[in-house]
Amino acid sequence: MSAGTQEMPEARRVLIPVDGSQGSRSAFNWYLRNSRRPNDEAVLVHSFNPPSLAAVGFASPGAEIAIADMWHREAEEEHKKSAQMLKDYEALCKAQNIRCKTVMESGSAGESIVRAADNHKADFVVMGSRGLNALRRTLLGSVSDYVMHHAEMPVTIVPEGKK
Amino acid sequence: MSDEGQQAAAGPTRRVLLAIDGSEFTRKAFDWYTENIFREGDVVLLAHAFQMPVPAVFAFGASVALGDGYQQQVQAAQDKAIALLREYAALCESKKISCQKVIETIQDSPGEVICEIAKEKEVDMIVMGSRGQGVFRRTFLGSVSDYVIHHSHMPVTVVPPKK
Repeated sequence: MSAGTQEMPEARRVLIPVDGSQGSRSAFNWYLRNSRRPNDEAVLVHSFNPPSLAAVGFASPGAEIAIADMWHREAEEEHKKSAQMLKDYEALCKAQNIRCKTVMESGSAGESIVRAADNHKADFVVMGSRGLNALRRTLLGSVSDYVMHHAEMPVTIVPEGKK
Repeated sequence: MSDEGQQAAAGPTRRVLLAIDGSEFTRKAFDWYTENIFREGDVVLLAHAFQMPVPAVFAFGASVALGDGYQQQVQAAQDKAIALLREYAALCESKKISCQKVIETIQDSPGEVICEIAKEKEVDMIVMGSRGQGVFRRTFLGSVSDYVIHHSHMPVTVVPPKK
């Protein structure tokens, strides 16, 4: 590089799966502190899964309609929470001057993340080792495990303890 | 900090373990690190898990006293390992990256050696290639990187063969 030339770094796209857990927050923070470059664009993906019927609770026989209503309301509540969570992350990105876009996917989390990384042509992925649903017994949750095995681009797994 | 956007701020020295195994996958991981994570002040630990050669005589099941032949085999393997790390050290030097060479002999598995070195040398992150057998196993993750992501307590980046 000769003196006087300003080489604009090539824009990178980083995909960060988020789910409201400390794990995804740790991953996001790790990216900011360790990898972030000017011109990066962050794609924040959330895989939304409506609550299961069992989570809604039991009711007396003949109360199917009541259950359906309850489920519907819970699903909407959860969806609102997820949308808010994405908005919060968007605000964090703005505060850091990072271009970002949020994506709400649904279905199997691992598959959604790999699909989103592909669709959005992410250059790399940074994710927590565990999400909201992972069992405490393991160091690596099944979603992160799935993404590590199937993503076509570099994936960084950030353990929960890391800030 | 510039107005165009911030870069991950310079912070305390980071120690980065780069798992080196002589394959082209390692070179991909090295290049990815230098292009996407590296910042001035980083100390790179070039870590190689050394496999003691199996004495040729054992291949035939006979128990024969190991002679000079085996000594030479071990020496040759060690020389090769050292040459490999020297190669990467030279690459680091050409890019003005501080580095250290670490070789440890495999007792149980290469993955275990990587994790041990990471812990002992108190590294901040691990970067490694993946020796995935994409065509046959339909995934990109090799067994060594699989071990490390399941057992490491620090961030691990696995750089896959494609792209």
